[in-house]
Amino acid sequence: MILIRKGTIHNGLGQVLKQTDLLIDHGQIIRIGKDLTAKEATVIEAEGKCVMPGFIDPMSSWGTSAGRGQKADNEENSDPLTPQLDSMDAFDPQSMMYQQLWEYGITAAAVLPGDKNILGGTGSVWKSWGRDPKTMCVAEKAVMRGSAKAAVKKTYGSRNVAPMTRMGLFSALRQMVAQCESKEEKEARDPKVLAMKPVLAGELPLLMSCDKAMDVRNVERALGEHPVRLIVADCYELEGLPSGLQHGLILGDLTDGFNERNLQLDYGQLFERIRQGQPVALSAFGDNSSPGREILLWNAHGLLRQARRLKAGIDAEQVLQMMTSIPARLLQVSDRIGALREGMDADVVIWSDHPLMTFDAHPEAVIISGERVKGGEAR
Amino acid sequence: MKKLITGAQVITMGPQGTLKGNILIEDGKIVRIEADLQDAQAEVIDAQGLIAIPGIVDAHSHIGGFDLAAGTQDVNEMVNNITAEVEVIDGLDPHSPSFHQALAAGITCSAIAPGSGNVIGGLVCAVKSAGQGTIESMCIKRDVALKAAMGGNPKGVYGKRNQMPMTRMGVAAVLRQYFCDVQDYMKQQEEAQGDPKKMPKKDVRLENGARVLRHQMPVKMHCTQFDMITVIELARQFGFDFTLDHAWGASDYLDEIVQAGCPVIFGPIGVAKGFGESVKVDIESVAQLNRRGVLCAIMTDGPVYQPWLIVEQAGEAVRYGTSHEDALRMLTINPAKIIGCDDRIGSLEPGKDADIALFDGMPALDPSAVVRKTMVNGEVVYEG
Repeated sequence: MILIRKGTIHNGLGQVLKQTDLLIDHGQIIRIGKDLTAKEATVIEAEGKCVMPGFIDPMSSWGTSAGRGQKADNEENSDPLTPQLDSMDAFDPQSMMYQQLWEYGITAAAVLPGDKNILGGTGSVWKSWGRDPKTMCVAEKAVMRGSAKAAVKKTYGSRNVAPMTRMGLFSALRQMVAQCESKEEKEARDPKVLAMKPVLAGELPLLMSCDKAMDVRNVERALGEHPVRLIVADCYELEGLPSGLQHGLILGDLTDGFNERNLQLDYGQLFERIRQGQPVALSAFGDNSSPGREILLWNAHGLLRQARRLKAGIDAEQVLQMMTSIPARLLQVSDRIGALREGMDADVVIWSDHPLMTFDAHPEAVIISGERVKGGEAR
Repeated sequence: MKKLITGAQVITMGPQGTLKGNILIEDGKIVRIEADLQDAQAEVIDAQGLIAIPGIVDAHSHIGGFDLAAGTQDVNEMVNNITAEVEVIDGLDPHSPSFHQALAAGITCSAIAPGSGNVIGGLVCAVKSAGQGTIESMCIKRDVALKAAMGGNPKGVYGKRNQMPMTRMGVAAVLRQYFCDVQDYMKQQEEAQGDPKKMPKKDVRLENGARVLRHQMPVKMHCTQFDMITVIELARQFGFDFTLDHAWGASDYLDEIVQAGCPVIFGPIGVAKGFGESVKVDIESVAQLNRRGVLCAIMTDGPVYQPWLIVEQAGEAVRYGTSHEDALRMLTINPAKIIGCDDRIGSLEPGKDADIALFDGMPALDPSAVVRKTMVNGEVVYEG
């Protein structure tokens, strides 16, 4: 048992609870309240400190390559349609842990196939630390990764095979959908069809990276009337995006200077969508497939800068949600991670100060699945 | 034309320290900084509640040399592993949107370098982020340094072609051979004793190296990890000045760097931990180096990151042990000194260029701090 005493709890759902205790047992948060006692608990004094849920990156490639310049195992670019692949087969837990993501407050991430196939395969959600792969895994096959980015056209078009253009790309996607709709027995046994059916049934979310609003519309047209849970990712052109987007928008890396699309982002419109309650999540990933652990927090800072510039009335707690409870919801794992609530996994970071309000903030203690990965004055 | 910035907290980075006061500007230069300073003729710029710092100086950048929309670049002339004869100024587009983004981040001057595709890439120049639409009107120094690169980048370019350098041994050998050639060239010049008939034919490629060996400019060394030791040894052997740029892994070589007495231009961080060159990406090293008297600056390697990340990285230096004031120095006066332009920029002092960034919020401490106005040569060139 671990008792975190008298911290300021930022629960990831927009609430701030001052001088509040949090009790952890068997990997879970069992109580949140005032003046809790537990005789056998290890106590961490957190008075004046920020107790936060660990951050979650919903669109990562962590654990799929040894590092900068290495060939990634999540980029099977031999066929633009590979929904049957699973990033589980590419994931090396040691490689993810090597990044020590918790040093920047990250305790979980979706690990996805890359963005160079129209359908890349399924991604899973992993903790950033664990005693063994089994306890690290939060959800297998949590999301289908797709992409309509120029990177797809570049990858295949340069080999003189389809897709070379948007016409080719969306035609291939439509054909895949048609194959799933087919009544022929041969099609029903096709591994690609089997992998795509839960997407079309609305059971498995489709995370689709798109360069422009027109690509999102093209995706929707190709998917037809199927009730797909479409998560739009990497798209910075908000004008012309469907107004609903109830399943979420993931902003790609806003710090990348080589990505000229992210410079086009209309922050005024973005903040308007956030105020309307549309689920927007942050990610460190975009065109650059091997960012460092700092980038997710930097993206949050960047958003707060823009909010201050525009006097948009978006505060740190709202941005905190965009890196905790909202990504958890998009990935359908909000029953386990992304907020500090009783019954949830104990993925807790105790910061010396608010990491979205000052640079002089350190993750003094990090608890993942109820185990102390880092620090904390115990007594 | 006079201007008066009123009401700001002024962090001068100079002898006046930090004060609440007004800044008087005339003809693009700072005239005086004082509390309650008034001037009836001056146009007033109200900066109540804002923080004035010297315009940020990025000591290592490539902005203006990449056309992101077209996907082209003009900073790596990768036809020969040594291109000491080229000048980056010829590759810079003064209308590149990167300069406007730099202004939005409070960056008013950048030392723009050729890339790291070649072992020696060419001449580095210092360019303000605003001017009269020509690169000449923005450039304040054409020979900041001679750019060189160690390690993976030149290896990656030439090794693939089965040419030297394919290895780090090759990189060192290419540099050694170049400086030997420069020494021979200088010897021929000396032996000619001013006799034009005996003088060697002028060779810009070697002439730029001779300027380095005559200590007229340093070598700007792209290097990381143990490559730093190779650089320090080469510099000792040939007697040239140098800066260590990027310098990931510097915390393993503190004694060597302190002893070499070279400045360090650190960054950028934000890359995945890996093997080889990115095994250690340690911004905590600038705190240690700074404490031991090494002149340190922080860079973004623009356009790799968007320009505002330079302040973000200074914030990370603060997180990892650098005092806030020293982190601001690493964005302003330190890089100005390193690129040899501190007679004009890097601090707010009478007589210096009126290059000023007005922040809403404390840069490098408050992550949401944002630039409201940027001035170059006394003109407001950005408002946000």
